[in-house]
Amino acid sequence: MTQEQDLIRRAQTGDREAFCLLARSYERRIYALALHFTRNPHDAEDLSQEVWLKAFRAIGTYRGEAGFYTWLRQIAVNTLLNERRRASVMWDSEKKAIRMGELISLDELGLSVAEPARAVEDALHQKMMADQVMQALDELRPRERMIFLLKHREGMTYEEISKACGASAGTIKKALFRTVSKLRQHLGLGGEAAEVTQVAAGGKS
Amino acid sequence: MHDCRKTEAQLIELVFDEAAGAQSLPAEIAGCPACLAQYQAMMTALRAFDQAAETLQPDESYWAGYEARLRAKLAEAPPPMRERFAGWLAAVFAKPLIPVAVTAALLLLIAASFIWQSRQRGTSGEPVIVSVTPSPQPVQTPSAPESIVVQQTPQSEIRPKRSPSAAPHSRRLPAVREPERRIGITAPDNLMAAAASEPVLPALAPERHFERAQLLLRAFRNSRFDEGTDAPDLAYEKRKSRELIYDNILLRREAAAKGNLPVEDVLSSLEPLLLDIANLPDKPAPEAVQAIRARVQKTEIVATLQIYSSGATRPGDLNQ
Repeated sequence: MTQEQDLIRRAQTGDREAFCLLARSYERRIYALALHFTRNPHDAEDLSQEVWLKAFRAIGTYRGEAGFYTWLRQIAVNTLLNERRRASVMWDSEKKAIRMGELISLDELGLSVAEPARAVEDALHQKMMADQVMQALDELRPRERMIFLLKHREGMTYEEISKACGASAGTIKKALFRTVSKLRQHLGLGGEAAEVTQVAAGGKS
Repeated sequence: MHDCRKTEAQLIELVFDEAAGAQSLPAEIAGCPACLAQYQAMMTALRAFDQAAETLQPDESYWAGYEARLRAKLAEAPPPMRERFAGWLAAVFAKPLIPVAVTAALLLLIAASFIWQSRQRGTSGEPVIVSVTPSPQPVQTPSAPESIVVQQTPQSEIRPKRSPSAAPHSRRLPAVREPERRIGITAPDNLMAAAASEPVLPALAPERHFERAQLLLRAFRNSRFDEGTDAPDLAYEKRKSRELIYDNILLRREAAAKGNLPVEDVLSSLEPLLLDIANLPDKPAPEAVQAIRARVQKTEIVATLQIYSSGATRPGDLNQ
């Protein structure tokens, strides 16, 4: 029996300490998924911790048929998609106010005034790029965003994504294409120009 | 002819496929500057996303607080046992290994067992009928704190050719106090249990019962009053009489059920005597003792019992 299996077995008997140790192994991945999905650190923490609480309550049903992280990730996907569905009205009205770039300060960049100007410039550039990326994700529908994250960050196959999100392979491909297009558009990588060029040229070169 | 639109789907496959690299690009895409530019722009967008994702990751110091907050929330969360049990139940009923037929059979078995037990309880709960031959001088024991009712069996039900003197009637008798056995005559459950717990089962040794009854009556008949006291010491006789009553009831019912009238007659005659002896007060009046002795003498029951206990009845008379 591996250490993880031992921790799972103990957690199934109500051992919270064992569950905390188990959570430590995956908390960063779950948090990252929540952060990229919500684009807001506070919501990411709330939702990722909700995922852990749900996992703790349901860990008795885990029978090891799939990997623990696979089981946990499905809980996360369901939690995030359901949360977005519930809060979509509020979030739509507030999403303009939640901009990662607007919150940037030197402290947040992990820098001080004593840092070389070059370092400050690089850090600021990264933050601005991150802001652009998040704005691109913000314009996607929640399910499209989730599909992109599951494919690009989690490395899941189309079939796995299809089971996790209840989407067809065609829908998944469209979502991925749309996401990449949005990213290119916000990062100034000629996404729209390329598409316009293609349309004008009849799609033939 | 190369169609850039048709390569869009292929580009997505390439971009999200880890194995895809610049050197493994299909010649169709590598040979088309527009498609190649698309591909490179897509890859750049994804790298930008990865960089942004890294940038947005919280500082290392964040995780200690995160874990502490999670620990606090978990402390308030209910234990997962309920969900575990629910999951187990769901698994049991979802598994095709336990077919519905087996579950239904188990349920039927439990129900049948329950019904059978209920019927058994109902049977043992029937009132015990004790035939009582009217004694010429009923025993009066007003000092007894508890009293019981012994209902006489209607003679017409089991013995049509019965003397008119044995007319059915009910008699109120004092309770039999016996702490070690805790048996009352009107408590049928206790009575049957006590009969079942007897070391010598009456159905197995009727001769032995007759012998014991004979010895008891002889002892009772020959008991003497202590000098200087009015009351004889009949503790032994009372105790033995109580023990024999239960055997007698069972044997009589069995004999009646099997139509063994001679044996039933003897047992019916014996029963009221045993009851009267068992229900004598601790300090019986000499008149009460004399009355029972007179009945023993008059009915010649001792002689009859001697005949039966010697094997005059065929072995298995009670079991025929």
